[in-house]
Amino acid sequence: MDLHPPSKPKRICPNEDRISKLPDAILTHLLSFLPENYAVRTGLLSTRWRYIWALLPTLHFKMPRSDCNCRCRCEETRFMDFIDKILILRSGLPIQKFYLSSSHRCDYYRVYTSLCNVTMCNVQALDLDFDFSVVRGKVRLPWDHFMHCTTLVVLKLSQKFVLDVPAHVCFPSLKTLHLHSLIYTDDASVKMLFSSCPMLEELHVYRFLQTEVDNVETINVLVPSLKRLSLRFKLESHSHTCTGGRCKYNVVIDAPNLECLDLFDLVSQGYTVVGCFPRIFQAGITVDKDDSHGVSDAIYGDGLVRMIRSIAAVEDLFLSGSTLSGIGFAYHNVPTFPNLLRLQLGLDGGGWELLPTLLESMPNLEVLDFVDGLVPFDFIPGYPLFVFTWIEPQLIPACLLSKLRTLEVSYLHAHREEDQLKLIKYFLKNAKVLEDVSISCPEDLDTTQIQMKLLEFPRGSSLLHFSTIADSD
Amino acid sequence: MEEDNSNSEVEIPNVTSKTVAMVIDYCKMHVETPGREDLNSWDAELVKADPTTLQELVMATNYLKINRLLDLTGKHPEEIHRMFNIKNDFTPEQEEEAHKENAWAFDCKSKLKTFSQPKNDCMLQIEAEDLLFSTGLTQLFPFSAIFSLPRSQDPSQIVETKQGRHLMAMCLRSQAVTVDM
Repeated sequence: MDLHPPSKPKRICPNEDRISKLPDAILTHLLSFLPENYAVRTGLLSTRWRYIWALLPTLHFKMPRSDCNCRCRCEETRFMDFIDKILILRSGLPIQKFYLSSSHRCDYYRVYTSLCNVTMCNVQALDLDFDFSVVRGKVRLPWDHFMHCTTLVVLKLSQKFVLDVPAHVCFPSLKTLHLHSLIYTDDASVKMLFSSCPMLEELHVYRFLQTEVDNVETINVLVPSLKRLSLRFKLESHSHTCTGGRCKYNVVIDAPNLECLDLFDLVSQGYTVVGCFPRIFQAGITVDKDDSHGVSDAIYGDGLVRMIRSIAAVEDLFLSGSTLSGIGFAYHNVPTFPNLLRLQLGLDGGGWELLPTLLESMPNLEVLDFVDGLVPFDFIPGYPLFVFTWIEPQLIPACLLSKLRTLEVSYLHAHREEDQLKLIKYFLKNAKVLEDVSISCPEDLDTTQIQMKLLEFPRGSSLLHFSTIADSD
Repeated sequence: MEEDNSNSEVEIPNVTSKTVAMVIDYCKMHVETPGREDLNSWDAELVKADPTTLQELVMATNYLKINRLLDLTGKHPEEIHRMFNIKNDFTPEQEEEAHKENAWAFDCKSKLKTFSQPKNDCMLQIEAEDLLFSTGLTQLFPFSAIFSLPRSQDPSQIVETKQGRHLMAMCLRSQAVTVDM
């Protein structure tokens, strides 16, 4: 063979496939830099590349819902075969994240077996999405394997399957648990599930069912290690009766180390917090009472305000318009928020008459953000849907005089302009240290006109920076 | 491997000079003597090096190849074939199976939902709420929702219900809704 002199650069042979000759480990490492779905695409390149992606630390399998109702279930069988094949190919390589979405037509025995195999691969995150809504039986997870799996840190379970929690359950290392619209057997099983995670820091419980009932009335969160809690409940059938009469939905929380609370609850009638949350710094509360709750306004309001008292140490708070309405039933008990720096408040349910009381309870407030606009959505111009009950208080709240620096209004409505400007005018006049005012408007609103009007209002603070943003992406 | 005619410098981070020398040797070998018979065994010897060296080698190769690989995003298999000269050696049956497997392993989450006039008036509202609820409401979540109402339906009906007002407020906050009437 000729040895070309080194000084003359030679073109490499243009048809040679060099990359495929690299060993598996290197190719997998290269693929790890790509987004997962693109890495998986390389399986279509050639036989050499067919399963390189399968050696990546994250595996994602989704059996699409099939439209054919044939009895053979051949597609589902091939899907399970495929998963088994990949697990065998990996021969025990540790799995960082395993996502499986199987349809009800998959043979659950095979799913169970695959899960057992996965837990033996030092899996760190398990995300299971089982659409078994048509299946009435209980779904058994490999609890014995979970008990001995010290690597599992994240577990997510979704879709409407009936979760059977046995008496002895333990997740020794689990830090994050997501439960999304499952159906449980009873209250006790849920409580047990939460309590079986000694290291749990983050818990998300979404209960979102339209026609089904999830057999839980009281959600009991007893987790000393918990730092972040997200509860989102919306049950269409909550006016249905449970055994023994009307369902009494409740939430009990005993989590003294809680730092973040996200509550979106259109269902519960009452809340009980054992102790309070001294470490809390961020909370968002969206609750809504409607007539099917079965409790009086006063009792509901009292319970709500007591719960809010437990998060009084918070620095960053969101209260929706509906929550404000709930607070209004017991406004005389509103606690003080000594550390609160930022308040996001929804006024889309009215409640302007509560605004002074609320501001007085927040002496150190620096940022006030009206996230849902200043008035409810008034769809038909000239057809008023509400009465604007804002009255200027006699005494100016302390935070306006010395602390409030930023005022934000998201979504200035095109209708009821006069009412909205009246409220903004109050803040401009009385917030003595206000620095920034930003208002976002819909596209059809003339922002220059609005800005001109605002600039004419008397100002309590000398430094003021206005910005009106057109609300478009 | 890219051919670089210029004498420009390339900085390769986190790699010792020894490894860089190995990479250069490798490139020289393959570029200057592509037909050498013992090239494959030379390569084999190279990758038998100790784990640390190998790791560094990988990092160096990564770094040099990475730009090309990142170009892969958004490319069809055919284009990748051409870019790297990978030959498609699947049989038709294998190719079909591989495509199916790909669909099972592919992550396709579509965040766009279109709600058009269903038979039941209430369903429009409920479906939309489903989506908004499950995608997280207290944070602004950008997505698109298109509502189209039939001419016969009075739009004020939607907002007269508490649910409806709530729904509209949620949509507006997510900067999402386009009402098409």
